[in-house]
Amino acid sequence: MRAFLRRLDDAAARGEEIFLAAALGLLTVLVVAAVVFRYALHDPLTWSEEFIVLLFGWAIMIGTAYAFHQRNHIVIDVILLFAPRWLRIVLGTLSTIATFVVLAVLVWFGWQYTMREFPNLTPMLGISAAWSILPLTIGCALSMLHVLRRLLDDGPQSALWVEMISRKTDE
Amino acid sequence: MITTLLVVFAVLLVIGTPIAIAMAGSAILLIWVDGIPLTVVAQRVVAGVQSFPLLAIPLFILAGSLMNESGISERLFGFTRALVGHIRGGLAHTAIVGNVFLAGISGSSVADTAATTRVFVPQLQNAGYPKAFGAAVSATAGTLGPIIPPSILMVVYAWQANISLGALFVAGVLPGLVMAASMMTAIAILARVHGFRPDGEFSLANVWLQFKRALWALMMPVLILVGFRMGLFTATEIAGVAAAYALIVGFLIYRSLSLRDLPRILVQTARETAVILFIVAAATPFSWILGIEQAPQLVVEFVSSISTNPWVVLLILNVALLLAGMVMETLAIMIILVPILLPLLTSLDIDLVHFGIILLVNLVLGQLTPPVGVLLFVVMAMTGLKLTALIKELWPLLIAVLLALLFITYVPGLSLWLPRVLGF
Repeated sequence: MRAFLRRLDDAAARGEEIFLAAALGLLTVLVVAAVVFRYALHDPLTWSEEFIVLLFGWAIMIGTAYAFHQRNHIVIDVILLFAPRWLRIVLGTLSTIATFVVLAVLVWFGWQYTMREFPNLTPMLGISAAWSILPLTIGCALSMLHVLRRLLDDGPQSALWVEMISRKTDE
Repeated sequence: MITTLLVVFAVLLVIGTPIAIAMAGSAILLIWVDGIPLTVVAQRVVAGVQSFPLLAIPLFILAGSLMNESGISERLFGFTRALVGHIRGGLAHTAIVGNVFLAGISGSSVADTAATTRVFVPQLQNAGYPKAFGAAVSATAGTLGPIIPPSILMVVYAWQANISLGALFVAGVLPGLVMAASMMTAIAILARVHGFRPDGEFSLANVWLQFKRALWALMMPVLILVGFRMGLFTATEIAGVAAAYALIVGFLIYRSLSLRDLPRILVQTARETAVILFIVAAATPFSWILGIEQAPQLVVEFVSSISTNPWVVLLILNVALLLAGMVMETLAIMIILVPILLPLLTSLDIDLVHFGIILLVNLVLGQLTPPVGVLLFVVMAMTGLKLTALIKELWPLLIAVLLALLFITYVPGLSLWLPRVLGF
């Protein structure tokens, strides 16, 4: 079970990396292309802004999941830094539970919202508006997977954050 | 209800929940208790990330990382060393002036401090400066990053306050230079006290040589400001053009980037962006509750009961922001406080561009003050220094930035003159 979870988590993280690199690359190209089309070719890309915002939304939520995998989310760690090990375990357990609950709520109600918007179409692309809401559910679900794996592998005291020294030098 | 919201938020933060989760979590709890359907939260969070203007954030981060990876910090520091190295304490001055230029390329204080620490702490140590002094100078110099354009925090603030990002960018130039001048004054005094030596001789030929080496990097801030001035592009498009420029410089001109580096840089940029924008998104239901609970009006009433003089109010805000900056994370303060403060500022006719600069200087100062000071953590992590040793060398520089803050607060023209002259 644990091995399966690890494999699943690794695969998800790998997929996220590929998606993020491709999405950000494409976003940059599209933004620059919009300028070129408007000024050099006098033919503005009317659909581009809507698509860009949609893709950006996906990149943010997939990036959020990836940041949980990398344990990069910003945590106020003054107390954690000076707390003894037992207290870090207690606080870590509480904050991991809280994070799990919040992510679960976002997954569930994000999904309901997605379903509600399903019949509506976007103005320019004419696709379902659900496409721009779905990343909330997917991103938070992937985040839960990553938190769970960290919890199993590293314990509650470092499921959400890594020790200060190693985290800050990562910049 | 506001009290409950803030208490739950504070508790979640203290136990080590990520800031974004703590914001969304406290909002969810209150909305649930109130019996409002929780799809509202999902709606707010999604609305919070669907923004074309905020796309400028990853594009500016990308431009900065590409430039950074192609080794421009070394070129910029080479140029500034040729400029100011010959002054007494020259190497420390080089770090400050180098950061003025570095800030013109990157928009983040953390990235700038890390780059400066990596280059300067060993150099300063070899030249006989105490290690903690080098670390203190690097941390202080990094505060210029968000003040001198481009700036990630400015993108967020301009979006929140609904003001022109171009005007805000230009407004940051002179205050940034004032901060740098103030830091250099402190270093000059310290150099006399400690008897620091100059670093090399001044030669015009060397300045020219180093200028040519750094030219492409120096052109980037010019490109950004000209882009805004011409009004041809939106802010997001300028950021995109800056990223494309950095790509061309890194791959074709300096040839120090390889195609293999690109995916890693893109993933890292996307991750950094997500960390910022997940907070922005998660804060929207939080701010929504503060809004319907009339928190902004309460703040207006409370502050007006003390004083309605803009100068006094600015002093109060400065003190409050400095205190907040000591214990809270920069972006979180901005996300929570700006919507609450806007009605107060408008009612007192305080210019939103000017306030934006005051806010940012306060926030970067907060990054430099214990106990929660991200720049201190960066240099401590990179040098292995203890906080007490660092503070001993840091306090004169902190005072210098604080004096610059007072100057920037009470001379609005410093922020507003340049945007006016340039026609923003």
